[in-house]
Amino acid sequence: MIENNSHPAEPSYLTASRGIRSWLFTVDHKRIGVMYLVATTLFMMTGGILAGVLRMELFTAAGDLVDADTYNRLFTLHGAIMVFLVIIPAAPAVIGNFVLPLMLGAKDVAFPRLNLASFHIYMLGAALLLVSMIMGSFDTGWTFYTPYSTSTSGPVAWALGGVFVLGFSSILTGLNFIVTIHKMRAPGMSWFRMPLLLWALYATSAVQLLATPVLAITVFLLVLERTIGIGIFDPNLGGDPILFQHFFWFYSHPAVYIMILPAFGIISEMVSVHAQRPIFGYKGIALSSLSIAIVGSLVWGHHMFTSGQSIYASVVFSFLTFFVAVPTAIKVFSWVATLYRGQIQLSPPMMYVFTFLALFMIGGLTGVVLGALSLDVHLHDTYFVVAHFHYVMMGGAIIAYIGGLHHWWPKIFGRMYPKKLASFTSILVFLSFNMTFFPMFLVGSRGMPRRYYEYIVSFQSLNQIATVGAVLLGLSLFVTLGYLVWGAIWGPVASANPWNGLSLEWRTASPPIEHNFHGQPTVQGGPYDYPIRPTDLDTVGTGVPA
Amino acid sequence: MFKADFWFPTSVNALADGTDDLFIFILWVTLISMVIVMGAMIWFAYRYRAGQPINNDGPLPTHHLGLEVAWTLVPTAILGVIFVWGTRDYTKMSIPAPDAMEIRVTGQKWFWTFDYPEHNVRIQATPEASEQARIDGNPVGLVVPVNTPVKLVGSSVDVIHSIFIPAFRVKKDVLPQRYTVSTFEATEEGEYDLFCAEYCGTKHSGMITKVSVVSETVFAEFMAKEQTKSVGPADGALVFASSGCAGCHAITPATAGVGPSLHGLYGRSEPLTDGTTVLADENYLRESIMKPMAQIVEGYGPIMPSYSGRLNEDELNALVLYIRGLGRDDGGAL
Repeated sequence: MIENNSHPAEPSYLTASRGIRSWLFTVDHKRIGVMYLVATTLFMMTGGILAGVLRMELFTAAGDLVDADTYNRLFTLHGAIMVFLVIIPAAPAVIGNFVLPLMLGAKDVAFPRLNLASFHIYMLGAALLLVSMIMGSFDTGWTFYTPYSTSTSGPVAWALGGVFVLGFSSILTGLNFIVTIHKMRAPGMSWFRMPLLLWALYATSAVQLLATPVLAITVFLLVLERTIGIGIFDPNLGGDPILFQHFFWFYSHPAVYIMILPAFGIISEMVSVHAQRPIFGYKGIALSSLSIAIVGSLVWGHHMFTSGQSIYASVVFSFLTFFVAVPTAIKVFSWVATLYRGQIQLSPPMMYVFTFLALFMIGGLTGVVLGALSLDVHLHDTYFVVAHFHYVMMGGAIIAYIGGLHHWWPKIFGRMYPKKLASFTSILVFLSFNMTFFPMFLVGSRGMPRRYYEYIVSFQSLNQIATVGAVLLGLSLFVTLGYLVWGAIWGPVASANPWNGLSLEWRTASPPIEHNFHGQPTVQGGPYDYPIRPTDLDTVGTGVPA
Repeated sequence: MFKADFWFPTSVNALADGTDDLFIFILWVTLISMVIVMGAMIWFAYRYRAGQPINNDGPLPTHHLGLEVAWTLVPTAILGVIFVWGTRDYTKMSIPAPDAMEIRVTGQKWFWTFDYPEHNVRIQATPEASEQARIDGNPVGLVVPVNTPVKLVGSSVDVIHSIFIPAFRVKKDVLPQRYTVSTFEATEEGEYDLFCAEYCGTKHSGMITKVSVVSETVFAEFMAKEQTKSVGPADGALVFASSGCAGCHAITPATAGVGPSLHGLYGRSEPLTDGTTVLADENYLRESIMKPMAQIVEGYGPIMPSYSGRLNEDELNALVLYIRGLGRDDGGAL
């Protein structure tokens, strides 16, 4: 408390400097995180509105709201925006950027300027995608399968350029995080005293660093094929379209781990803090992140069971796919076991933990269905797959991210959102999510292929339920956005440690000062050494632990 | 909900009879694990809600080896069963019987063409043609006899499409410049949906037709009266002559010419210059015409020009059928 009083007027990172330039050219990881937050939120709204139009179009079996080509461009944009501009950067670039140095007890990331460059590169990539949108947009699907993508008209090369550029942002962020975790942990923070979010971000960064260059190369080759006709993937030019699919999924399957691993980390933090109890199976969770990253890089061929790849390859990929399910199951069991004999707060972050666990389990277990070769033949490229990956990517990654925003919101903005409204809205999100996506399992297993502008009449009632659900889900998410923004500006002032967290980010002021801590914090124990002792809370705001 | 009929159209493919059972098995596994995990989560959330007096049954457990080993091994075992089950059925669904009736499937923006080389019949399943077939009282779309193993050999003339027959649990991508194979044996007469499952542009969702499973008698009658002729080995012989193939390749068991003799080639293992061997199947024949440099038979030079862009899909298919029949006892008939 003495430390705290000696810095009575120290401004927070939000007020330390003013003006638009002080934001756009900041090297403060916290401001960069907030800029990513604004950008990804805008893109998520864009992608969400596109999804709304798609659902409206699918309300009836006949194509009536937009024409077929527009529909094809809309679902392509929805996918590309959500994958490349929202889910891949959301958790690492928003929550990771803001929280990672604070959790480590560091002043910033290892390379602050590189971190700013990552943001600028991200915006450049986003701008290229938006240019392609303005130029009439492209209709390849976010998967860019050849030879369709080399033969269709439209500004495909611009979009590919955007994806290429965005990849570098991802690579540089990954590099930055890895170096920061290696070199800038606070004194006393051994690897196994790191908060689990850091383990998850470490595994994520490794995948970003190793897999993203393959995407860049693939996209580059595709642009060469499209622009000057070098035959690499197009069989009419002597190329091999299945090679493209291998290259594409060699990145894009690990990319789903780029999306979901940070979510796992966020859940680990929230479940322990909001149950006020040590995490169960710390090492199991930490090491399963790494094994998911490794095994997850070897399962890409399960996207290609019906592509014409060899039967033997399919068998191997199916085997490895089941292997990756085991560490994921271990995590889920450990999170639930963490609740045992806890002091469970039904706070909004905990509500999102429950939402995540329910939705992610459905997503994961339907992944087991798709991993089975015989069933995948029928279900591949149907709405069953659409439902599965929305359960995993939205029900898993996005729900954990939104939960994480609720968890760190008071730290980021120093103010609290209305908690009761937030908990209530989380239930609406859960219900409307299931109403939107559960019917898709059924309509898919009954045979409705994905990317269909029109469909046969017998699929209509399930589609109508999904559309109504999507409207409700959209409304619930707008309410969420509304109270979060309200809370950030007008909400009650939050204390430095509103949830009684033990990791280092809770030991500095909310919002943190520009340089995070007044002194170098040191660590004497693990991040989940609950039950909390009064001395753990004494140090609030000083940046110096007890 | 625990009957396959709730989730799937009724299966009428003799080769896919295990898949629905596997789905129901996984559904039970899902339900039981959801009940255990969600049940524990909800119970703990209620029982240990904040504000309850803290019980002092000793330190809070942070790990438990036995429990952790159990929840690693049990899912591993269950997943192992699912893997074996799925792989067994997949193998059965993927490998056609040797005596299966062959039908050529050609995907094209945005309709399917089905060729019956044995019957020299072609069905172009455009929406207009299907409508006409209905008016004429003919079976619509892909017409197959009941209780007969069928081998679909697919290719595409433009982008990737995928033939998807939900009632058969069959899906296979068709690609330009190569053949992919799928198989089924329909067990019930009737009309079933056939969709394109790989996104192919504007009318992707319009690239749908029917599979008509008919009795063998009806099938034979339909084949006999259907007037649209397919391409067959005889057309291939014409392509062979007009493209100058005979300049280098003998069709008799001749001694080595400029290129290898094609007599008895199909189905044989060919030694290559790089020391490996290749099975001379349809894909090999096709590739050797379109990309002759890709795989060169031992003892020959890399001198053959590519026919890429010089033969259309029909000519190529006919040529492959012709070469396939060379040196066979049945004189090239299928």
